[in-house]
Amino acid sequence: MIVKLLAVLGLAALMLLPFANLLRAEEPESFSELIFNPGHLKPFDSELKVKVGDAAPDFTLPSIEGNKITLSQYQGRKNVVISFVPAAWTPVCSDQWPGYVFTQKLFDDQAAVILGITVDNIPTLHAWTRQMGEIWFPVLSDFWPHGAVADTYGVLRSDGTTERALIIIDKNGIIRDILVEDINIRPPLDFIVQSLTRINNKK
Amino acid sequence: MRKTKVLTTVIFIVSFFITITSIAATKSDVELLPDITLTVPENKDYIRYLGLKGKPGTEFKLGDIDADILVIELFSMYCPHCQKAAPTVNELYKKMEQMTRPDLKLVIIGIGASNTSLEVDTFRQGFDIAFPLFPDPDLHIYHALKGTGTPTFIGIKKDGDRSVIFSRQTGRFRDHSEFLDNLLNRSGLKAKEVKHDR
Repeated sequence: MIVKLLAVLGLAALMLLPFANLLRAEEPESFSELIFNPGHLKPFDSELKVKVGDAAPDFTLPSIEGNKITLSQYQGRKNVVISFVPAAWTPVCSDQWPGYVFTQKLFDDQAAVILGITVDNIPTLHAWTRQMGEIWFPVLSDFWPHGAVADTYGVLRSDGTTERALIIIDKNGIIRDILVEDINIRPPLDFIVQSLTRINNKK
Repeated sequence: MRKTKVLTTVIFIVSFFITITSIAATKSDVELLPDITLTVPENKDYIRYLGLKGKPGTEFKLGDIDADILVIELFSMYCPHCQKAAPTVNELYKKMEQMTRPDLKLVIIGIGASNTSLEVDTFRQGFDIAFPLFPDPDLHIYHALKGTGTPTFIGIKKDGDRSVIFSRQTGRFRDHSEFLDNLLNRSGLKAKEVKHDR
């Protein structure tokens, strides 16, 4: 009788085996599960067509606000930090600009504006940037002609995305610093701060 | 027929004990705090808060922090969820300070995943964070702690002469008191050792 009872308990326990892990304390899922992960990408896939000391090629691109932004409109007024990021809705890109949203005062103190550019279309950029908070800088679409501005600067990759690049331009429209970072890595804020500090002769 | 019955019975009994053993092993896995080295900060208040004995600029191990319960927040300056969570985490820090007493020390630190010192300082100043934050620019601390995104909150307790990770939570929490209650419950500290008002 006891043997039969143990046998029945054994069968019941065996049925529980697949669920053993559920007896651990439940852990919340990572919120980053919604972001597409392209995996590790080729670090660089383009050749720069500009260099420090060049006049920055002028351009006009549509912004997610519905207007058009021209680079030269900032001459005499603001230093410009062009931030090319490869694509919306991908991991490193999705957290680079929220950092710039958070550090607006730092850019204001350096008399600088950011122009955030990707090759995505306006609706995509609009949806993507909604989750970043109150974006204080223009977000521009280099969608059509596809990647034309990125190509002018030499940061258009062979798959149609752009490099992860920062182009620092002074109030005279001259390129003062360029950083084309490994596409898999976020460029440090330190580069921007050091560059703008040099431009503004601040210590 | 009799042999068949005996064989069947034996198989079921063995299955029972295998299952029970498996479940027991699942629940008793102990995750030790990895051997992670940080730099003693310059700020004397931080040194006092962490109970460190070394001089600024020298190395210390996470396990050297004098705390009955240590909370590590894995964050990033670039993480919008971390930015939104910062005020609530500040409240958590204040609550932990209120509850700390000589026989129950609660400590929290932040690790800036993929952040430089400048980025960590910018985050601290932007949110007026009072507890120590440490940069982790190459993510070696984040990976050693098996980070699964930011913000992640890791609970560590002393178990004899070793430190044990007993809790992980990724994502923001809404109520700092509730978070702390749950954390202390998970730590297994006896009820009489913890008195807290909500």
